[in-house]
Formats: sequence, structure tokens, C-alpha cells
Amino acid sequence: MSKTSLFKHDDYWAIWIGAFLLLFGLMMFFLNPPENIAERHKTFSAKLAAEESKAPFHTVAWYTTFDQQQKIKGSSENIGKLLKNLTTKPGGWKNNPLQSFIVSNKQAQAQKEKATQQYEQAKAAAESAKTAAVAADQRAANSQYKDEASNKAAEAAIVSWREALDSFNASKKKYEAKASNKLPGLLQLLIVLGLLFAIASWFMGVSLQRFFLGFCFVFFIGLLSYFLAGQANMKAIGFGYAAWAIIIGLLISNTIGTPEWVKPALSTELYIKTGLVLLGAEILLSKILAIGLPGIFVAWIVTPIVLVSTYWFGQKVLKISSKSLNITISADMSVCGVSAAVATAAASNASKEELTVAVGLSMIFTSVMMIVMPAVINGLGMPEVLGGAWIGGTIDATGAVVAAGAFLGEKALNVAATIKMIQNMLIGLIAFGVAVYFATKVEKTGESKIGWGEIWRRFPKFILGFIGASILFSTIYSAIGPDKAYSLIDQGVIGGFTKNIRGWLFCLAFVSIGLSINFKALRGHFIGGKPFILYLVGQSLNLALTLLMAYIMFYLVFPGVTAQI
Amino acid sequence: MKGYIKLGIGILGILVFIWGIVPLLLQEKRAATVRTFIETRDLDAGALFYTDSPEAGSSIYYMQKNDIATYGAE
Repeated sequence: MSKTSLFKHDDYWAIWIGAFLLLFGLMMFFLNPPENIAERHKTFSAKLAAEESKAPFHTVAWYTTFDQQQKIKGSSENIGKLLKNLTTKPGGWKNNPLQSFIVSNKQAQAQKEKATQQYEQAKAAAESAKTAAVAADQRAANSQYKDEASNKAAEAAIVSWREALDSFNASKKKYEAKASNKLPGLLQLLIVLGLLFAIASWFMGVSLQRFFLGFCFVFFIGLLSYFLAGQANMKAIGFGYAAWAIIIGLLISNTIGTPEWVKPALSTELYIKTGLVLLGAEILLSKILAIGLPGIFVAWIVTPIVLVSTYWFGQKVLKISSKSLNITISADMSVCGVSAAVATAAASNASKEELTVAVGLSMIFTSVMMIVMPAVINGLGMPEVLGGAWIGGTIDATGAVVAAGAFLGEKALNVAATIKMIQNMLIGLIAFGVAVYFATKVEKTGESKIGWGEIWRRFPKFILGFIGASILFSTIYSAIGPDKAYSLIDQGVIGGFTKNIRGWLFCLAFVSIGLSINFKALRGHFIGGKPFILYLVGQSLNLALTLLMAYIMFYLVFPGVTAQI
Repeated sequence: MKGYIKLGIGILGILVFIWGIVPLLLQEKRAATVRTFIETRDLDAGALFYTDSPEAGSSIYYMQKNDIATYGAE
């Protein structure tokens, strides 16, 4: 491998840019931690442990301490606020599109007045629920938590208080609306990302000026995508920026055509691969060892079975001609939707059209399942934990999983979100496996045996950055422990910085995809409805197996765990 | 010119989708209930990965802190 190839290929540039951003984030958050972070976590954790040993359920004091501990976040510090502002995106809006970017003092005041009544009602409800919960908790404490009926009554009162508190917190957000202007932050982001990728493209033979000019257009379409995704109706159905980026890009390229001066900035591969290196840091393998034992079985046994079965069905029964399309849809459906589709498409060298098909299918099914599944679960009278596990293991995107899980209740939400996260962790393993499989088996053209040199040549090198980021962050996570990691990694480097940039990079990649493909090429993939059938059959198998495994794990193998969730 | 007409129709389609079709579909009883719930809690159902959703982050941290649920009495 020559030195020049390290600066001439987008795989390597994805690693350099990704590594630079991750190390920069680590430095910023670890050098500016929240004050007395270790002592505060120690105190809160000791208090939680003491409360936990006192009662067979989580007491009011336990939750109050937990809420306080959750507020120790790197992203709440000055550096976190600065980086959040630098990596901002257009905000949510309902009727006034301008509010996505600028909220004036007058508008903020009007919003506050409008939200006052709801806020006061929610506040009163939360206070009264807390009073009831404290009283019930006290009654249970009086019997030293030995009276079963008092315990049950206290637990139910605490659940009601937590639900009322969630509604109160949401109304508080609207009530505390502040004047804001996102435009300076967005302009800064345009310049920083534009320069970073212009330098990389310059090394790969594209003029700095031409790239930056085109990048401004791509960024603007990305901005428009986030803006549309932030509209209240779109937020409610989970129709996110990825779909809008592709739709707007397609609309432009297939009507007036993509302007020539934009084309140097359509670096789909570079944006996707850099985004995936950043995503690697979010695959915190050490985190799954610490939580959700039954969830690990549900997510990690069912998902690979469904993935392989769906791929087999696509090859042998549907006879889909493109293996990369087949594996992208199979991973998209069985793992976690768009993120898995992006990773698998990059690992299998799938075409832009193939990735678009997979993302489109995921978006449609996610929106439908998010509404239908809670209704079915409620209709069947299924227990919350089982319903949550079913939702977490089957609905593709996390946002939809959270919405559907929360609709069923607090327990369902906790189980659903945990299972989804454990499933998210599979992306790394699957992307690596797919890259190896495609480099050694699928792309093998006639030769009986291919050497390591050839395998290395075909192997998508950015995967090493992806895996490397995961290993580095998992190691740091283990070394500093889950509490400090929550404050500095989950709610610091990742939550306050890199995941925002990763979102932007995926958005820019989808804009580039939309701007560089045409409807005719896309339509060809839908002939015979094979991708749709593949998704439908795979998802049906996923629904059946996940429900079965969730029942076995949560009710037959670990019933004690289920009772304590 | 033809391209601009098509673009105009496309933009019109987007507007109809956002303010026509989706609100109409959300009128359906079950969908309306889920929508109201999402709006009341101010959830973003469009989050792609677990790190994109603050609610998922909070739930996962809760499970982490919940020692009994982690390894249980099993």
C-alpha cells in the first residue's frame, strides 16, 4: 500500500475525518467534564443502591435521585452547548415554517402564553400524583415493605406519578420556549463541514472552489430535508430527514436536472463512510454486557436468523438478481432500518438505487407499524413487557420504537428501547461479516481460490475505521464505568457532538443519492414487486420469531427479571 | 420549461402530502390517538439510531441503573 493511496481513496479519508472528529470530541468533553463528576455520581449511586435494598420496587426517593443523576451531562456544560450550537439542525414547527430557524422574543412569549394553561394543568397533575405516590410509598414503608397490597398500591401510584411527570416535562419544554436563531450555527456548520470535505476532495483531485460551491447547494437541500422532517405531522409519523433528502434530490434531478456545478460535491460514498466511522463510536459493545440479559437473547438470536433466512428467501425463492440489494433489504428489515441499510449497502458495494429502495421500504413500514403494533398489542391484552420486547425487536427505527413503546407504558418503553439498542449493536458485526462475505464469495469471478492480497484489495477499508471507533469507545466506556460514561460519552462526545454530525453526513449522502439517480433506474428495481415481497415476508418471520423468543426469555427463562422491570 | 412544470407539480405533491394526505390519515381513530400521545410527550418518532432519541437514552440508562433487572434473582 503506497503512502499516496492513503490520501487518494474515500475509504481512507472517511477514517481520517472520522478519527479527527472523534478525537476532537473526546478531547473537548474529557478536558471539560461536569464539576465534581466522580463524587456526584458516587453519592447518587450509593443513594440509589440504598433505596434499592430497602424496597422490592423503585421508591419515590429512588426515582428522584435517578432524575438528579441523569442531569450530570457533558452536553449541559459550556463546551457542550457550544458544540451543540455548531452542529445544530432546523427545529420542529407546526404552522409557521420560520420558527424552524428563528424564534423571536415575541413568538417565544406568545408560545409561552399559549402553553401556560396546559403547563399549569400538567404541573398540578404531576404534583398531585407525586403527593399520592409519596403517601403510598410511606404506607408501604410503614410495613417495612412486607405488606404485598401496600407494595402493589405504592408501585401503581409511582407509575402514575412518572407518567404525569413525563407529560409535565413535555409541557414545560413548550412553556419555557426561548428566543433563538439557528442561522449563525448552521452557517458555521456549512463552513466547517464544507472545508473539511473540500480538503479531502482536493487530495482526491477535485478543486477546492468547485467542491465548496457544490457543497453549499447539497447542504441547502439537506437543510430543507431536516426542515420538512421537523414539521409536526412528519414528526408524528416518523417520516424523517433521510426520506426527504432522497425525495427532494430525486425531484430536482428528474425535473430540471442536477446543475453541473453541484456534481463535484455529490460525494455520496465519502459522506456515508465518514458517517459510518462516527456511527462506530456509538456501537458501545461494553454497554450491552451491562444491561438487559433477556433482551440480548431476543435481539441477538432472532436477528441473525431472520437476516440469513430473508437473504436465502430472496436468493432461492424470489431469485433477486442483485445480491447487494437482497442483503441491504434483509439487514434493513431485520436489524434497525436506515442505519443498517447504509452500513450494509456500503459493505456490499450496493448501488445508490438499491440503498434508496431499502430506505424507502423501511420508512413506509416503520410509519405503519408504529401505529398498528400498539393497537394490536392493546387489543390482544398482551403484557407490557412482552409488547415492549416485540416492538423493540421488530420496528426498524428507534424513534418509532420509543413512540410505540411509550404508548403502551413505561415498562414497555424501557424494554423496547433496550432491545432496540442491543439490536443496533449488531450493525458492526453484520457490516463486517457482509464485507468479508462479499469480498471473498460474492465478488469472486471464476477463480477457484483468491489470495489474501486480493481479498484486502476488495475489502471496504472504512470498515476498519468503523470497528476501530467501536473498540476505542467501548474500551473507554469500560475503563471509566457506566456512570461517567453516561455523562461524558452518551451525553457528551456522542450525544452532544458526533451523532449530530453523523446525522448531517447521512443527510448529505441521501441528498447526493437523490441528486444522482433517475426514476427509470429506480423503477427497474421494483419490477415484479420483489423488494416489497422480500421485506414483507422477512418482517412476518421477524414478527413471529421475536414474539416467540420474547415470550420464552421474559416469561419462561427469566420470569424474575420480568417481574422486577 | 417542461422541467420546471414537473418540479412545480412535485413541490405541490409534497405540500399535499404534508398538509393533506398525512393529516387525513391521522384522522383515523387509532392513528389520532398515537399522534396525540406523541405530540403531548413531544417525542420525535423520526429518530433513526438509539443515540438519536433522548427518551431511548433515558430508558437505557434506567435499565443500566436497575441492577435487579440486569441479572435478576435468577
